Amino acid sequence: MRILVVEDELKAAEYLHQGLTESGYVVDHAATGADGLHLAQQQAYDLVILDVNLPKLDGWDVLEQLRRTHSTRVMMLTARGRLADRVRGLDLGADDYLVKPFEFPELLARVRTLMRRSENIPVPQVLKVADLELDPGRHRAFRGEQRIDLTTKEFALLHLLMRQSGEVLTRTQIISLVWDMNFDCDTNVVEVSIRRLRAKIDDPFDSKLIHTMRGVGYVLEARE
Amino acid sequence: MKPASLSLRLGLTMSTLGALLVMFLAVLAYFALTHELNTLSRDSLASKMEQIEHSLSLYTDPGEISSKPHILLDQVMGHDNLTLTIYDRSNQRSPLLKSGTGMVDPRPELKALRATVDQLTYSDSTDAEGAKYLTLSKLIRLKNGTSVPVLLSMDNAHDQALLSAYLRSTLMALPLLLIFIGLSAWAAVQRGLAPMREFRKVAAMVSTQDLDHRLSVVNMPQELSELAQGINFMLHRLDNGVQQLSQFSDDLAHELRTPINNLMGKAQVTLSRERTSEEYKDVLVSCIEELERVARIVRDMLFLAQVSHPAALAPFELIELEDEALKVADLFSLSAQEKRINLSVVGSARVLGDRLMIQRAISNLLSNALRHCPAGETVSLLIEQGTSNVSLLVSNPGAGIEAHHLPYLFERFYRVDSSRSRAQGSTGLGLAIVRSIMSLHQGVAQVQSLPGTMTVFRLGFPKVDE
Repeated sequence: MRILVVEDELKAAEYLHQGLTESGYVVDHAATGADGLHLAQQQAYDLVILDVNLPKLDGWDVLEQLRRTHSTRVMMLTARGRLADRVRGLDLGADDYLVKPFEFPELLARVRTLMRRSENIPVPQVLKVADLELDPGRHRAFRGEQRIDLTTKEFALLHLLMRQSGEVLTRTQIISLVWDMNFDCDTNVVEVSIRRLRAKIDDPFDSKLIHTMRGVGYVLEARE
Repeated sequence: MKPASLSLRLGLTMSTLGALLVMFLAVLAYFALTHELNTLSRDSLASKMEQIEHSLSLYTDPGEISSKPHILLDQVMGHDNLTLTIYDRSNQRSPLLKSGTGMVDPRPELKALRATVDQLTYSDSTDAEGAKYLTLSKLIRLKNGTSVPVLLSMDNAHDQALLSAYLRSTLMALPLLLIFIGLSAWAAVQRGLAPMREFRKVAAMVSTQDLDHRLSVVNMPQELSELAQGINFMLHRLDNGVQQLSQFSDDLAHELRTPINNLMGKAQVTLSRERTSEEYKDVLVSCIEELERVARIVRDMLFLAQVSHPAALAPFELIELEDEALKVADLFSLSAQEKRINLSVVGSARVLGDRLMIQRAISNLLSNALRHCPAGETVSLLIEQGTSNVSLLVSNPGAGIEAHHLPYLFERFYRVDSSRSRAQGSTGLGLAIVRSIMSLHQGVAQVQSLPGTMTVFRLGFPKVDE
């Protein structure tokens, strides 16, 4: 899948390019709004990641002009976090809006969500990773044959990790999706919850599923 | 067009008003004088007529008047401006007696006199040369019963001269007077506004670098001294604000310098020789931790800036404080369990506010409380519906905060124990954010602490009218 990154700041463009390429995307880069618009109109991209502060043609203009002819998915990337700016971006037809500074795993997760949105992969009723099974409908979890008792929050956390299996989830994302708190909170709730979850689903078993990506976050996947 | 100066405008206004006033007074005086002179003339004519009537009563018939006129002539002798004319009723062409120089045409008066006896009639007339006369006419009965018309005229030349002299002098004095009034007003305003130069001087000296200048209010007129005091007060507040701002940027630079120095040092040390990839990984992880701190400071700063300029905020909604407190408590319950601390939420009330911000304020207070609460104790959240406001109290037992720290707790970057809290990842902005959020909600953030006993933070919201 092809992604166009329109970003004038070289360092940022560099790590976006690297991070996205390593996640399996084909990435093109444009350093100005005009180049970006030209590329986006000429080539078929699955997603355009568009910075707002660009030389010559700013992100709003690029978005506006692109939307006249193309329905390519666009994710805006900007340091302007004000509500009015976000509303403006979405009104102009952006599919997502990410405020700098952001964490790379969150960007990756949002890219995946955007990609999925069109593919319409149905989320399976019963989630399964290796021999771990989670049935959200009946609120039950099994590891192999063994039933695992989980608290509500532990269940929600495991559900999230399994739904996004293989993706790194940051602490902020987890707090936002499990506890519904959308601001920086000074708490170690994620660390504690992961530890407790591990004690129930990993510690008694040989193959571990929850992995800590130091400095980034947590991922649930089966590793050989 | 440049507006005219205040002194000029006031001078002109005063002159115009002065002109109107003087003219009004002059006109009033003119009419009063005219009226008074007229009355005087009438009175003197009337009394003279009485004397003439008395003299005439001694005459038996009209013929006697022309033959013995001296008694009558004596009456008007010495009065240059009086003209006495007496006619025969049957012959009105030529008078029986005439003294004085008045050249008045007597016919209208004679015509009027035909009817009645003893009636005084005043009339004004003007002769061919333009001199004005006041004439008193009367039919007077003689001894034999015949009556003769008597006309006594008074030349008003003296009165006219007096009036015109008055008018002339008034008109001549008026422009001088007006110039004088205008100049005086101009000068008075100039003198009164002289302290304004002081204002200008101070204003020219004030800049963000130098806010120490103040206006001296001594010898200033009251209106200006009030203004000067207002300006001095404003300068004082600006001074405080600017000092706080510069202090704040100092603090911010300091706060950011520490982690940036750490990052640089660590990276440089790491790069100074070859290391295993495991070691590089460790360095990167610790760099991320440090950077997260920087990112959090920046986010908190942005949040504070956003709260202080609340133009683009979502509108307030009705918030059930208990729900939000429970939600935040739920978030912290695991950490509390780990530290063997009980969390309790009691009470309920509704306030108007921004859900996210209220959650954030509660969360900041709760994480502080948990950090300072000893194991085995209880951190309690108490919601009270007061008569005029709603309180949310977050209290924890523990060592408490010494009194001299309390006034500064809500300042940005103020830390009671700087090294320890920094090591725990605190940005030093948590309570400043709480205060900003509360001021956005027209509420207050307060703290009370009894060292060794209990520390209580209070969020006071205005009461909602439902």
